[in-house]
Amino acid sequence: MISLSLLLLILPLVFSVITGFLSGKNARASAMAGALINLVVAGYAFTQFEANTSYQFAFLSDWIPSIRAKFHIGIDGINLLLILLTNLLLPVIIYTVKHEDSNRSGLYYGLILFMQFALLGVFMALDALLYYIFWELALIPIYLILLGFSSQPDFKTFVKFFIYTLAGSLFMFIAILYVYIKAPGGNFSIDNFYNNHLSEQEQVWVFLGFFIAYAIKIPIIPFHTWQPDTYTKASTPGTMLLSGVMLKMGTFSLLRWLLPVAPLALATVTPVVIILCIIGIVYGSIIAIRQKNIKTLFAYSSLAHVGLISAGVFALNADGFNGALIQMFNHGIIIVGLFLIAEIIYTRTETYHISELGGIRNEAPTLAFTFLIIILASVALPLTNGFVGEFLLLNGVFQYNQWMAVVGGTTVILSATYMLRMYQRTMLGLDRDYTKTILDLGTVEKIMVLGLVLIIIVTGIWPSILLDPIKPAVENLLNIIKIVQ
Amino acid sequence: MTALIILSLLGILVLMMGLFHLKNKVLILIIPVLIAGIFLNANEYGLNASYFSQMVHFDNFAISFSSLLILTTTLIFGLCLQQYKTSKKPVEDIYALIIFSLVGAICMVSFNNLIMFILGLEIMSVPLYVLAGSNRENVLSNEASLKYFLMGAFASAIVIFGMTLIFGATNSFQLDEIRNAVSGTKMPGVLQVGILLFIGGSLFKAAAVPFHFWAPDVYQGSPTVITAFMATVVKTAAFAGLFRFMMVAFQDISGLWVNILVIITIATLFLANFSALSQTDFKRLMAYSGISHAGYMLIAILVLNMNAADALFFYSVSYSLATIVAFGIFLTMKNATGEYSLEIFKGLSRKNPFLAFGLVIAFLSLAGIPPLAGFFGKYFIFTSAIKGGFLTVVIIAIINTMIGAYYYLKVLNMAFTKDVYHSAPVKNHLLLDAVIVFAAIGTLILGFFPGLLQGFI
Repeated sequence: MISLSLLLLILPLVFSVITGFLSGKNARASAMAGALINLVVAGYAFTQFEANTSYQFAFLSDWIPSIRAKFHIGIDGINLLLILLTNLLLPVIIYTVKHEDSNRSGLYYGLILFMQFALLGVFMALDALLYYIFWELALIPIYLILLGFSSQPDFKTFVKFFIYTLAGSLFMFIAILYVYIKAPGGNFSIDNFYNNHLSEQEQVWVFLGFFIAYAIKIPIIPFHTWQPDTYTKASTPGTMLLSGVMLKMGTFSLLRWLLPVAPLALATVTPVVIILCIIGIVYGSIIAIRQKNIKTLFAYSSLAHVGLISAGVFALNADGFNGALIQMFNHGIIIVGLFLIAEIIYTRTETYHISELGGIRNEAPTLAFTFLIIILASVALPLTNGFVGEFLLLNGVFQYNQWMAVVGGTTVILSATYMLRMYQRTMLGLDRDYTKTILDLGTVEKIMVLGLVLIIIVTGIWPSILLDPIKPAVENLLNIIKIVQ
Repeated sequence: MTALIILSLLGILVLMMGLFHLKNKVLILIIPVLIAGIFLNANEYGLNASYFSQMVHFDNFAISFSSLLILTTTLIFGLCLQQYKTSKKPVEDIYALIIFSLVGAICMVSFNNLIMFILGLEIMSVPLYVLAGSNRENVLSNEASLKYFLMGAFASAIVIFGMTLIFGATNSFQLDEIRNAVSGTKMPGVLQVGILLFIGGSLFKAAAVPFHFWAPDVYQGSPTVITAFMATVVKTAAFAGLFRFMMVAFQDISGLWVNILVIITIATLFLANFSALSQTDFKRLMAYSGISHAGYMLIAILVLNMNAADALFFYSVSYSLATIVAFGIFLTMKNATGEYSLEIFKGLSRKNPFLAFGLVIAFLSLAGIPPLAGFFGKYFIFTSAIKGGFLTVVIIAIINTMIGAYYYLKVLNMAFTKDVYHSAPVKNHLLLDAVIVFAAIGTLILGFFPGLLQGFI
C-alpha cells in the first residue's frame, strides 16, 4: 500500500512529465485530468485525516545516507489545509491558461503541474534538506512560467523576483546548515531541528537567516518591492500560482520551521517583526486605494492580507495560529477568485483598467453577483470565510497588544474602501465602450466561479470543518514553543 | 593503469590513421575505446596499485578522477562531430592531440612523485597549445595559441621552480617522503616559498585569480570543442592534481599557506562573478563562469580532508556535465548562425524546446539551484568547509552564488524571449543530442540522488 502523501506528491510529477510531451488540447486535457485526480486524492486524504498531532500518511526512506538526509514526508494539522488548497486551486489555474500558444502549451501545463509537485513537497517535507530542495525547486517552474508565458515579459522584473527570493533562500540555507551541524542529532530530521539546543544568541542568528527568506517570499515590508510588478506583468495563471499558493510557502514555513526551530529568539525579535507586519497592512491598503489597474490593486490588497496573517503568527497564541492557518486557506481561495474574475473580464474587454470598465452588471449579472460575494469575502464580511480568518487573527493580535490590533484592524475598513470602490466603478453605473457587449459567464466559468463561491460560503458559515482537524496540531506547536521558552 | 596504456596507444593509432583520410570516421574507433577505457579504469577501483617504482599510484582518488576525465573527453568527442563535420582539412591530428592531452591529465591525477606531476602537466599542456591554434585561418585562434603558450610556459617554469625548492627543503620528490620530512621538525623558509610557487603554477592551469588573465582570450579564440575541453578536463585535472599533492604531502602544515589561499579564493569568486555580469560573448561568459567555479573548488583545497576530496569529486562531475551541455547547445546555435554572442540563444524555446530545456538544466545546475547536481556540488563543498572552520568563506561564496545566478539567468532569459534572433533552422547531429541527453539526465539524476556518487574516494 503506497502512502497517501507520496501518492499526492508523485501524481503531479508524473502528469507533468506526460503533459510536457503533449501539445494543444491533449495537453490541456491531460493537465486537467492530473489536477482533478490529485484533487480527489487530496479530498480523500482530508476525510481520512484524524485530528491528532502525529504525522499521518507519512512516508520515510533513506535518501542521502552519507549526510543522514532522509526522504520524509507526511501530513499533519499544520500543512493539511495548504495541501487541500493547492489541489483545489490547480484546476482553476489550469483552466485560466489561454489557448493561443498551442504549440508550447505542453510546456506551460507541464510547468504548472511541476510547480504543484514542488509546492506540495514544500508543505509535506519533514526533513530540512528535503524541504529546502523543494523550496528552491518551486522557483524554477514559476520563473520559466513568468519568462516564457507572460503577457508583458520583462526580464528586469522577473530576474529581480528570482534573485531576490534566491538571495533570501540562501540565508535560510546557511541557517539550515548551521543547525544541522550544531544540533545534537546530526541529521536534518524535523525533530532534531526542533530540539536543537542552541543558545539564545545562536537562535537569534538562525531566526534571522530563516526570516529573511520568508519575509521576501511572503512578502513582509520592507522586502516586498518585487511583488506588485511581478504580479501585474505575469500571466494570470502565474499570478494565481504566486498569490494563491506560493506566498503561503512563506507564512506556512513561519509556523512549521521558524517558530519551533528558534523559539528562544522570539522574545527579542517578535515586537519588531509584528510592527513590520502591521506597517505592511496599512501601507498595502493605502496604496491599493490609489490603484488604477485591477491586478495591481489585488496585488497590494494581498500585501495587506498576508501582513495580517504574519502578524497573527507572531502573536504566538492559539487564536493567532488558528487564524493564520485558516486565513491562508481562505486568502488563497479569495485571491484566486478575484484574479479569475479579473481574467474573465480581461478576456472579454482586453483591459484591466478600472477607468475603462463600468456597467458590467447590466450585461452580465451572474458575473457581477459572484464577483460581489468574492469581494465581500475579501473585506471580511460575516458569513464569508474571510470573516472567520480575520476575526481570529485580529483576536490573536489583540491578545498580544491591543493597540496593534486597533491599527491592524483598519485593514477591514480600508479594504472595504478600495474593494467596494473598485466594484462600484467596474460593475455598476452606465455601460462603457469596452463593456457594451460583454458576455455573462459560460458554463465552465460558472462551475469554476460558483465552486469558489460555494467554498467561501460553506467555510464561512461552518468554519469548524477546517478548524477541528488543525486544533490539536496548533496546541502541540504552542507547547513546543512555550516549553522551550 | 590499463586505461593509461590503452589511451596512449589509441592516440598513436589515431595519428597514424591520418594517412587514410578517414576524417570523422575515426570517431567510430575513438568513442568505443574511450568508453571501454572508462570501464577498464573503473575495474581497478580498490586495487591501490603503484607502478613505475611508485611514480604513479592508482588509489581510489586517482581512479575516480581519471574515470571522470575519460568520461568527459568521451562526451567532448561527441561534440567534435558537430564542430568538424564539414571540415575539409584532416581532423585526425586534432583528435590524437586531444587524446594525448587526456593522457597527461590522467598522469596529473594519479602521480605519486612530483616528476610525474610535471610530466603530466606538460603532456597535457603541449597538445593544448597546438589545439588552441588549430583553427589556423582565424587570427583569434592564433592569438589564443600564442598567449596560452607563453603564459603556460611561464606557469610550468614556476611550478618546476617551486618543486626544486620543495626538493631542497625535504630532499625528496616522493609524496609520502615529503610528508614524513615536513612533519615535526622546523621547516626552512624555502619550503613555504616552494609551496606557494607550486600552488601558483597549478592555479594557472585551473584559471584562478590572479592567474586567470589568459582564460577569456584563450577560451574565445580556441575552437569551441577545445574550449570545452579546457573548461572541463584541464580544470578538473589541475584541481585534482593540486588537491592530491596538498592532501598527501602538506595536510599537517596547512597553516603555512592557508591564509594566502583564502585570499585567492575570495578574490577569485568576486572578480570572476562581477566580470561575468557584463559579458556578451558566450565563450567569454563561460570563461568567467569557469573562473568562478575554480573559486568554489578552491574551497575544497582549503579544507583538505577526505570529506573535501569527496566534495571536490562531486563538484567536478556536476560542473563538467553542465558545462558540456552548455557548450553542446552553443555549438549547435553557433553553427546555425555563425556568431558567438549571447543573442543567438534568443527565441530558442520556440525554435527548439529540447535544446532550451537542456539549457535550463545546464545553467541552473551551474548556478547551483536545487535539485540539480550543481547544488549538491556546492552543498558538499560548503558543509565540508563549515566543518573545517571556514564559515566566513562559505558565506562569501554563497553571496557569490547569488551574483552568479544573475548572468546564468540572463542567458536563460534570451532563450525564453518572444523575439527570435535568427530564422535559420537549428539542426543538430544525433550524436550531439545523445551527449546533451546523457549529460542533462546525469545532472538531474545526481540532483535527485546525490548519494550515488558519494564515498568513492
